Amino acid sequence: AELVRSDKFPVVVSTWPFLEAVRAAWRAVDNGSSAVEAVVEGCSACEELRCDGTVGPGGSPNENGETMIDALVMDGVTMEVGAVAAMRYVKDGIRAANLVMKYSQHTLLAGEGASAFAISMGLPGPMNLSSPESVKKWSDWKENRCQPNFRKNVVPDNDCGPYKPNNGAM
Amino acid sequence: PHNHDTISMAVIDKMGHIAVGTSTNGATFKIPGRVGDGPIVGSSAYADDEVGGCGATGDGDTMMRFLPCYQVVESMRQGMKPEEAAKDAISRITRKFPDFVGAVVAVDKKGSHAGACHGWTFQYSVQNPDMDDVQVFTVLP
Repeated sequence: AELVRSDKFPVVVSTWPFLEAVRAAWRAVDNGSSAVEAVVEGCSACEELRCDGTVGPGGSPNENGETMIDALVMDGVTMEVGAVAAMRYVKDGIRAANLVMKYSQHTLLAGEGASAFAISMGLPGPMNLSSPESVKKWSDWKENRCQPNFRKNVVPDNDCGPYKPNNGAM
Repeated sequence: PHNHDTISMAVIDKMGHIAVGTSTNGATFKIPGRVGDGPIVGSSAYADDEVGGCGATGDGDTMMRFLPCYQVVESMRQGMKPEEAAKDAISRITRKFPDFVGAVVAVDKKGSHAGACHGWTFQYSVQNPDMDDVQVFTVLP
């Protein structure tokens, strides 16, 4: 392949002012790492820092109070993709996604299958992904009658579940 | 309810190779089992060495129905600049969902970048050889 020459390279671009994540990716790619390696380093830094509580463990509790991880990595040369969805008990989302890309012919693993694969390929776990903050957030939400939530056309419509279809609305 | 909810990153290395990645713990108080756009290729991120890369953030339940990052890369393939491609991808969503909140950031294979957003002010971060440190760019809705 022809070596592309440009003084604009390398480049790191990221959503939001996640400065430490960009610096981590920049350090990697400026030292000669591949684009894939740098993306993994950058997103992994955000997971460790729990950027805004919305990346990595210890944030965004679901209705059951549990944190689950979604992550994706794509290599624009080979068009290979590795991804994990609703992964439990493993904190390293982007590294798990990268393991799916490197060590399987699949694209997306979900749920406990994703956790088992990631752990079998060397990532730490299983572990509790909750934090004191996520537990507090969830218990406050329960006290607030589980508001807000993502249900629609169900009864009860302004309280905690269990829910069932509101046949009048269907 | 909306905050900085996802990291989605694109990198072009010294060889000019492009990769993208996304990581998130999803929407707060989501129904157990819910998967958003984060792990969906073409939605939260997409890359093609021949064209460029894209990252997205926002209301994943809506965004994943439109594959905005696949759209951004395809639009750039057809000749759009990153800014035009990003705006077009967002407008395809807002035509159907006027209350949509989200953003995309696009980078072409030469390293030009731009963002577009709806429903909030979006910021994205860049570092390249012209910069001593990360620079933050603000995109108004």
